[in-house]
Amino acid sequence: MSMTPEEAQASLQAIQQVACQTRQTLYRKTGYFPIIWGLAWGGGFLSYQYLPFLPASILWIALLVVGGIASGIVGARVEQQVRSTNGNRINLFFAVLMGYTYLGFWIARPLSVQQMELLLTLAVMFGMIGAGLWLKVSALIGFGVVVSALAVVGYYTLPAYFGLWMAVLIGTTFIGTGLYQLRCGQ
Amino acid sequence: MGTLNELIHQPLRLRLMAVLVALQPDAQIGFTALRDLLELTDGNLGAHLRKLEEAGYVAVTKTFVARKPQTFLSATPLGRQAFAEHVAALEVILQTGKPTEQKPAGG
Repeated sequence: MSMTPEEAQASLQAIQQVACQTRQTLYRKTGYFPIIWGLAWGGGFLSYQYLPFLPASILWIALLVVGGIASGIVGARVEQQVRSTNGNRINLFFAVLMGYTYLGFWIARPLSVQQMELLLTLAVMFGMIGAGLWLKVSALIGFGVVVSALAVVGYYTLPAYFGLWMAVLIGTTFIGTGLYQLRCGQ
Repeated sequence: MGTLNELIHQPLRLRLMAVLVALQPDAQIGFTALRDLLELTDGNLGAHLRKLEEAGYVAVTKTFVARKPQTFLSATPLGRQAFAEHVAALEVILQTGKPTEQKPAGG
């Protein structure tokens, strides 16, 4: 069988088109995850900025529970189409990371609300950088580094408005990432 | 330099392999999702998948999701390598304007 350059080009174009369509169709739905967590975390940070400690804590726990349930529903739908062993391991890794972070809070208490907010953010960003290194996704690493840096900058320069700073930072970056994924399927 | 692969060269199998290779190496796609993505019938997709599975290019996993039987598919390392070689051969043809050696089906 011989093939002309035109046929080779047509084949390469078909491959590129199908690969792009695959990413758009199958991975697009994962964009709901950062949107869910951007809303939950953004709401949580806002609550600590504007509500007393106890109602803010209750609201944040409620938002985390709702976020977890919503993620579970989206995850089950995605898994009907595509399933990934790394995805399951990373979810478990984040669950363990959160457990250790809250254990650290308990051991190091009393911590200020701002300290807990910063440490929680840094723990999640640490997880994102780790996941990026594991999966070789440089965007995850860059995202983790930039958000960590901005969180630390806000902690030291805007202590009175740190909750608001974090709500805007986490809300916009997570929701923006999710909307980009939904649109582009990257 | 890659060699053209007769098994992968068939247009439908080329698209099928392109989908599987586009997934993360640890990921598997459901049969129904693959069928819908490529706009094929069950029978047509099944026939092509069998050929690729026989060549060792595709791994088939049958499992239960919410108590319903489901089939998941992924490209094997051998399949990814064969596809990469086929793409490399296509690129050589495009660059040089000359066909390269062709690998027999299943090889």
